Amino acid sequence: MNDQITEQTKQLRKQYARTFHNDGLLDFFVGWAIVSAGIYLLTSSMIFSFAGWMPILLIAPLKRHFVIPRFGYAKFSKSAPIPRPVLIGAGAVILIGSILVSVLGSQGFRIPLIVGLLGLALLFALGKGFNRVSVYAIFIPLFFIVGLGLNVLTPALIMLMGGVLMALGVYLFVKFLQKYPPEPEEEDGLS
Amino acid sequence: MTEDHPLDPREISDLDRVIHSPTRLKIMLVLMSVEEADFTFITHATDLTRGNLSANLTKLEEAGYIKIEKKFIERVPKTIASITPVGKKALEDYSSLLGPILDQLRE
Repeated sequence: MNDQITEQTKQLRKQYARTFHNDGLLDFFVGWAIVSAGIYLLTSSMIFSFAGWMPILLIAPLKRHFVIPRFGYAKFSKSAPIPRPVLIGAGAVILIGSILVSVLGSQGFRIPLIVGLLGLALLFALGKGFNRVSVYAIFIPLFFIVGLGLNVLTPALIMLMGGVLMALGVYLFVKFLQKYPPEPEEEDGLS
Repeated sequence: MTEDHPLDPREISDLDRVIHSPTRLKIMLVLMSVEEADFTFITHATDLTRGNLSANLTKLEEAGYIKIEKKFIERVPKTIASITPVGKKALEDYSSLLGPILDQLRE
């Protein structure tokens, strides 16, 4: 039964962490960074190489202003390291994916393969309960390294991808604000 | 209360009444899964009204199972609750006692 408590609390922790990052802020700003990268590739304007990443600094103040007062504050203990089988599995998927891309890539399968593999990686990460920060930390470098390395990413495609993420961010943010209305000031009755 | 220790209904009276309340059990489970949390977070996580939560937090604090402090988080004063080692032990004891009872009822 104590194992059950441990398992329960682990699940709860994951659920809280996911809800905390489900406010759309990260999605919006990552989307903006990708759109800016697309504009930069299109125009070579240096402004967009900075404009993309600078607003990410706004995430923490926005969280403080909108998220914590509504959702509440919680400090989570450090989560356990990723289990070895998961790491080995992820490594195997990347290896097999790379082989598939290099073997089938020349036969016109490149884009569907890459999209499929990235989609699978995203689903796997979300399914394993990794939070959005980890998912984007893995996904974005992969997206650019693989996509640009294989010449399958056009600026328009990059901007489209960023636009989709920005729209997702706005949608999630509105949903979050609706779900968690502002809480009254500390009326907890506790001394 | 396993095969070597059959179910004794009298042991049910040993269940910790502070934790046995569903409301307080919910709060304990939430606090067990975080290091500390503020009042708003616990309200959302337990779906309790602020008044109900406040009353039950006080009971848990009186039992020494949780600690309640006023802290400044990002320059805003917050009521922060965290589970104490006594509270952790009480929750573990409670589950050790209740678990086998439920297991035997299922058989």
